[in-house]
Amino acid sequence: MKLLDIKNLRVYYFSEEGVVKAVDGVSLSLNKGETLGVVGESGCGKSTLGLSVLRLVPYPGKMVSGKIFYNGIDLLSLSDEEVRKLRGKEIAMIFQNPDVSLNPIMNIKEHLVEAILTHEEIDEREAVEKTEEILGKVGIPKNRINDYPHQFSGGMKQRIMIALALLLNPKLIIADEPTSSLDVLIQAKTLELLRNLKEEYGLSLILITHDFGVVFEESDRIAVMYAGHIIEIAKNTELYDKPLHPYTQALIKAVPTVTPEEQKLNYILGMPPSLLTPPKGCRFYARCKYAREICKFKEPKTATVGREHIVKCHLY
Amino acid sequence: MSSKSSGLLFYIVSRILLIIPMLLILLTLIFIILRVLPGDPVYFIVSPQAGEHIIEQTRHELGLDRPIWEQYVSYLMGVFRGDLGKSYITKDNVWSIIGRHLPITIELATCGLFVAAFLGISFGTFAAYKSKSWFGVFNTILSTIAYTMPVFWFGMILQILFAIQFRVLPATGILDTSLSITRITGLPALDALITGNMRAFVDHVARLILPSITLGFFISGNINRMTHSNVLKALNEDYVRAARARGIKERVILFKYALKNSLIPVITLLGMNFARMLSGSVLTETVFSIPGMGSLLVNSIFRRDYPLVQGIIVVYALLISIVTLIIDIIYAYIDPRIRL
Amino acid sequence: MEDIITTINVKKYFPIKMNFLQYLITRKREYIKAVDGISFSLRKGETFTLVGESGSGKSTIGKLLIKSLELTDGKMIFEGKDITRVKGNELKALRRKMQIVFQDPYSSLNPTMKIGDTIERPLKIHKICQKRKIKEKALEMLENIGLSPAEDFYEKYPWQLSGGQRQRVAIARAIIICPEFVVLDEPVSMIDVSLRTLILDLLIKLKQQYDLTYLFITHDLAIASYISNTIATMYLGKIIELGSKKEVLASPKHPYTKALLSAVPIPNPKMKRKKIIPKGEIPNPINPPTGCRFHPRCNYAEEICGKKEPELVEVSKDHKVACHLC
Repeated sequence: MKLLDIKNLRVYYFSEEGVVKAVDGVSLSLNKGETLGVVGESGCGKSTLGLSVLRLVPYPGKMVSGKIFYNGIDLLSLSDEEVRKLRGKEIAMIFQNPDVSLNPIMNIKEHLVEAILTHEEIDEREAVEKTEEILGKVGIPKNRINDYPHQFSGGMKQRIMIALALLLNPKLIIADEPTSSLDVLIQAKTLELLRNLKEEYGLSLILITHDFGVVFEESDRIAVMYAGHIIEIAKNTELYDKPLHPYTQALIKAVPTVTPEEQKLNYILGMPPSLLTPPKGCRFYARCKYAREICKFKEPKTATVGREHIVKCHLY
Repeated sequence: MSSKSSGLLFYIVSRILLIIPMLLILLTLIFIILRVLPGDPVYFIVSPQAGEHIIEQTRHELGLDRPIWEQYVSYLMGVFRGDLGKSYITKDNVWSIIGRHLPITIELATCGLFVAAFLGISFGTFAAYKSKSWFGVFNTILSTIAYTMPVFWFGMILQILFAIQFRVLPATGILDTSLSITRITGLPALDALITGNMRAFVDHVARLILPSITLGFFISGNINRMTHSNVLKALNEDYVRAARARGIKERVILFKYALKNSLIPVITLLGMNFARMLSGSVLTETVFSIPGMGSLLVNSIFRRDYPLVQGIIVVYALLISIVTLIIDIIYAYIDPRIRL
Repeated sequence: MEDIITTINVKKYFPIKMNFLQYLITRKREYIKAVDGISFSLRKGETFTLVGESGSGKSTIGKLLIKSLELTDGKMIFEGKDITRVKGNELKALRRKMQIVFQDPYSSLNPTMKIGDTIERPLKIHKICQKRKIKEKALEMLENIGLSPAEDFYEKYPWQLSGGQRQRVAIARAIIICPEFVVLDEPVSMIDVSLRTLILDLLIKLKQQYDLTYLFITHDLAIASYISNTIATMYLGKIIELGSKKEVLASPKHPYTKALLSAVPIPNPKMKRKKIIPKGEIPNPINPPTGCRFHPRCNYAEEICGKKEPELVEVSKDHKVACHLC
């Protein structure tokens, strides 16, 4: 059963320099209980995609066309107030930088209690109890509940953000680079916590990241984004064994790993195209070593190859 | 928490100690400036046509025939004993003269401050929230006018409009000549309330309206701009986006997240504007003929009443030091990140 | 190979800001012990990598080595000479031989200067070559770092370049005066994955061309394993393990190095490892734990670990560890 179904979504930023086509015709679905990794380089539109699910795309961004179905409800047809009630309650989000994601003049208890009382009609005492329980789950001791954000380390702040996200038992969590500002040990600890809590609460997760290591370790399925398009979606191991899109192939070979052996690594020359004036054909054309005449003029359609392996390339 | 309050105590003590050298420098400067200024105070007391020995005798009585450095030292000694001397003109103690005028200025400054804070913060916040609408542009123009216009000019425009054209508010003074207020605290509005003199209270408050608006509007420009840019910045902070993602209501986000965080620097600005407020009150009091510290200062400068001018400057300096200190302490308590 | 730079028991303490009155009353200065007694040597021509989490002191070492920070204690020897307290002209001459490349290519280039000027500036400051040859040399450098056509890039401003291109300019600026020794402080951590290898390969190429020695600072062990000859792990101002890349990565000895290595996410879904994550977080560098600084978090800690600070001792050829249990 599909929990989230994004259909041909286009999100454009109407900036002074022109229209930035950050997300340009993206279709994606998420099954219940699944972790879907969305991987791509900076500026590929992955963060905008995450924000659009909660309808939080900032000014001057606009959702131009497409549909987002959550549990069968079309999110784009809801009123602002109806969407607000879904945020945090049904769909929660975790952001990249925990150091600036908490209000510096509110203590931790105030953050959590406020979130509970916004969505649930219970008295404050119960809300505080609930707060203590969830903080215990993410490993924040009870006696620190009245401390302010600056008194916590980055890793603890991200655990508080996770507590805030899980507080109201949402069904879907969108985590946008949740660990990329954290050190490697804290990152491992945070990802483990997120994985365990996902099991415990029966959540579905969209994990947005630029880190191939993280995405391969955490995801069931992986979607690769490039210049506003999703260019490939496949099951984790399938993508690793048989990457179809030339970009995915090159990228997997570009990522170093920890090994005492000598590594031969690849890189991709050139830059992603400007999203102000994206090329007419395939967006990877200028950097692709298999590029043909057709790639320059015609945008490739998405093709399904094998079981659930989707690729957007003229080669298939 | 204990480390915070002991740190605060250190801070307060060191700030108070710093007032002493500041006063010393200020008094020296004002002492020199007054004596460099052309005009002999003696001729404001006795006519220049009076006999030579009357002039000399007056000069001797005022101590102005002693060498400058001697005058300087004895004045400083007096100040640090708490004695500001006597007015050349009225021969009253400077403290008691200031005691009569200061409460009126405090009343005016407080009202002005409320007007400024209300205008500045409400307009600034709303303009930031609606920054993409016409109100944003309108507010930018409004705050620029407030910031740049001359105070006396704006005061006179208000007088012409409301006192002369529409005759809804009195133009000058603090009380109708037919009324009087028994002095208890020195603050006319409070005294009128305590003695139950409602007619005097209403008359007095009505006379405060135009000067308060003049002064408040003048100060509001600064606060408006600061609030506007800070709220705008706060609304783009990551913690605001994170709060929206939790479904927190827009109203709560605007006030609890954006405005409250923006108010911290705005409060500092209010403190820094206190000095501007005092200089603004000099002009406002002159335009509206209010017998406060401002008009007292102007008059005593005109009459070269050295002890009174010096005394007023000391009181102004002390007031500014105390207000900025209080603001800093408030700051430390609002913002949990600050450890003084 | 001969050693190009040697540090002996180097320390850097940063005093904590204090109110004058607080100082009068407490009479005690507190220090952040960013680097607390470190000795190592860089061999000429190698890439020596410092790995560690934020707050381990690795960036401070980089700044100490290029003399942009004064050391609190210890000794530094560069090409056989004691440079611990070098000043004036001697320091300026030394600066030509030591360069640094920073993490953020967006803030390290002057936005008002053309790329050409940026690259030429060090040549002019150090008066390296004849005036008429300066431009020729800059163009040659641009071509060498892959920014071609060089004439075009020469006239551009930083904002017209991508992050990867800017970082290449920052590298060119450091290397154009032919230094002996370059500190690379997280040079690729803000660069996109598809271009990281390009920058790393460029660094390797330049090292050979110009006969350089690198001190490479990174938190990313995968990058360290790609570029290093020698790897040193830092924890709370100390080097706790040091050895050739092969030794450290194939048989790490210190529990902290083991933990770091196990925690790195691997971009291969078929390689599942058990992650060993030490308890807690890095403690405060003002009052570091007694004995071994890692002992409160170490799963294997014994009594001695809390009492005696372990020395960095050789356990096998090209491999030193500071641990009582190794």
